[in-house]
Amino acid sequence: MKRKHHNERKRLIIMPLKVAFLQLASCWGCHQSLVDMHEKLLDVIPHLEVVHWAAVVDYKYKDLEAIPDGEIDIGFVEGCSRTEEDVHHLKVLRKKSKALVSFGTCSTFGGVYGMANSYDIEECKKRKFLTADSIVEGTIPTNDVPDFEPFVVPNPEIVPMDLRIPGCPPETDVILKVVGGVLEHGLDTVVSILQDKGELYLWTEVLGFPHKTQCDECEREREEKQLTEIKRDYVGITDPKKCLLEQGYICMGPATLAGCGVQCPNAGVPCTGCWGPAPNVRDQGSKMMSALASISKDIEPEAFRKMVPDTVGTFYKFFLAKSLLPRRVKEESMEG
Amino acid sequence: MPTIKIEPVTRLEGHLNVTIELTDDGKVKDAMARVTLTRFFEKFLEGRLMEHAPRIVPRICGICPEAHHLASIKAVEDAWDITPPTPAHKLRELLLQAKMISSHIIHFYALAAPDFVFGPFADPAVRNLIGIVQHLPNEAKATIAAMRFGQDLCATIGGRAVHPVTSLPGGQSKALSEEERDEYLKRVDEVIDFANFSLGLGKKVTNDYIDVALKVGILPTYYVGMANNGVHTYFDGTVRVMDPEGKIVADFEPRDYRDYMGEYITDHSYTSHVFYKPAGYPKGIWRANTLARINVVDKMETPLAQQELEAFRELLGRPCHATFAYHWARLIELLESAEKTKILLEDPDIVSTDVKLADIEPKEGEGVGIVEAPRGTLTHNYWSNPDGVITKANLIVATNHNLGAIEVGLKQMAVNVFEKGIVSELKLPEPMVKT
Repeated sequence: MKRKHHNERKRLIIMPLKVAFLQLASCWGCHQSLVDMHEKLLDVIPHLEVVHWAAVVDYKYKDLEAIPDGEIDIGFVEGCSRTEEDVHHLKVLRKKSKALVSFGTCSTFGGVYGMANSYDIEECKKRKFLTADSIVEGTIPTNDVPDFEPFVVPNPEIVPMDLRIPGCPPETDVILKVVGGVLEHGLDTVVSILQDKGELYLWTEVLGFPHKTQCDECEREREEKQLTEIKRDYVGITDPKKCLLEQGYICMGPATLAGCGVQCPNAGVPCTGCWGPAPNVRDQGSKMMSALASISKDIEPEAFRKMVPDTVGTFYKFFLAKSLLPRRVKEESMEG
Repeated sequence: MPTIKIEPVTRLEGHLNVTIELTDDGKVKDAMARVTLTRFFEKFLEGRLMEHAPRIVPRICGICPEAHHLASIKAVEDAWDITPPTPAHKLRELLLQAKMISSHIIHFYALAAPDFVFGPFADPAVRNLIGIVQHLPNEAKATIAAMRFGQDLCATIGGRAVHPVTSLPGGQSKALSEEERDEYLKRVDEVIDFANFSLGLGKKVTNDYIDVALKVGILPTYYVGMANNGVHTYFDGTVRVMDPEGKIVADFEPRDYRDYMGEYITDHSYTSHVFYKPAGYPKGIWRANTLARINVVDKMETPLAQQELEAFRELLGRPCHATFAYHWARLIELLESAEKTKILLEDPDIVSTDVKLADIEPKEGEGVGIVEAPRGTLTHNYWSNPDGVITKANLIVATNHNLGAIEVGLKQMAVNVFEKGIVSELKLPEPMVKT
């Protein structure tokens, strides 16, 4: 009863958007980025009625389950589905929400946690609960804890998503543009435009984002130079003005969607691809490898492997679960 | 058999459920804190390049990614036997102080304060950060400005506000410019003022709730935290252990951590309980985080924070076992971080461009990096092969130190509530804001 009174009081002033923020397997970085809108929180908060946000508001899962289907205006999903419980909560929020937003790279592509897909889940459990070096007494927990999913599968392959915001985390300005866009144009308009066009990243155009690669936004100078060697990130001192890739560092810019403001190259380190694939790129890692091959000169495959001793972590840090080869394939299943 | 479930425990980051089992005659049979998630960093770091670890592990925690970035780079440099230039070392410490400012503020004001402002029994619809923003807009503005200082400084030094990128083996990829330094120097005094204001509020809250502080959550445990020759530090030093009587029983180098830190895996939680290994489990259950650090150190590093530590000890003693005192301890640390940030910004080294060594070679070996994260001692341990590829990784993150004690505290609280009915007898103040 109390809650109803509260809602009525707020609704006299303004009709707020009903929103829910769900945390699956994640780090809360997307939410930190949301909180980082700082002073603008004071402008945005009055427009929102938060019906679920475990880290901020004291509503429980049973409160979420009790909300009628379709009553939440926007549900935001942070993190990937690592356990059966994650999958369940994802499906619940889908049912309750008019629009479901895949909030950040983990939800959209699996993120760094997707790199666990290169190992069997039993090996992961064994390392974590039995053999880690400081364990004195180990056991694999089974008492009323949710089972792990065998592999990380990106959330949009589990339930339909209306909006996908990439980024690890999505930058605060990006979140503001999405929320601002919905508040300005109305949720129905934004969602219907997106659904009509149906393209993965079309929201970037709708909400005024560039539809480009990181390189398109990067101000470092390019000379169309050919590479004769690949450098590890710690080698030497980088030239602050020149393209990192042309200096020999593996910068994921050519394969990665723009939108973050090219922050990593601007801070003197290569892009690692946390925004996911550039427009019209199906597989971020193979796109990057082919970009490298096209500018390399006289680097034999054997020498390349020596210069880059980790393919997964170098080219698929955030994207393995969404890649063309998204998981470890057992020998026996290949035979089968 | 009646069972009470809290799913999830709210106003914390992560996945914690609580189950309390009662017997038919209302006695507490068991109480369990279940973390229902893990992401397997210890496994998928295997095969990664050592220099990529500091760019991957921030995703362990988006509220304290700087601590993970820095523990990680320390582990890499320890394994490869690298000492970065002094200005790079100071920039890293400044990055961690900046994070402490924003994290301590968000912890106190967004996670804890709603209970004091609206009272612990207020409507959940109001008893939260959003309620504070709506009911106390001026206080919220000052809080946001101070938090912003920390997050902005994280972005300037770390390259991004969340998930920093600038620490490489051998130093930092980016120096701090004089213009940037001057900008933060202009703002830092306001943050020191805000920390002082917060301490006043923290002391008032402790006094208002003194009945709660002294009767509920008194948990004599071991404590773990870093110290530099006995002085409070987040970044450089040894790891100290205090026993429940207040005696320092260990003061060890990071590389020796496996002699002192043990992990116990329960059957009901995906997060281990870390404990003081020489004492065994459960006797060696310890706590980390603000109160633990305040307990293990002899003194604070900066003058105003030292005065506040003395006031704290005068009222609550050393060691202090009152869980409620974590808040006050957090605000003493906030003040120290604000003061230390100013000291570092005034250090001429902080704008030096000598921040990165050019010649770095991977080598085979093991490295350990320990820093204090906002919520406790954080350990990263990697094994490198001669090509600089990680062959094995072991991580002990801050929250795991506390989970054993959280469960003990939960059982104690359950007995207080269901058997002794102590909660209804507690003297509680009027809420600051009535709803």
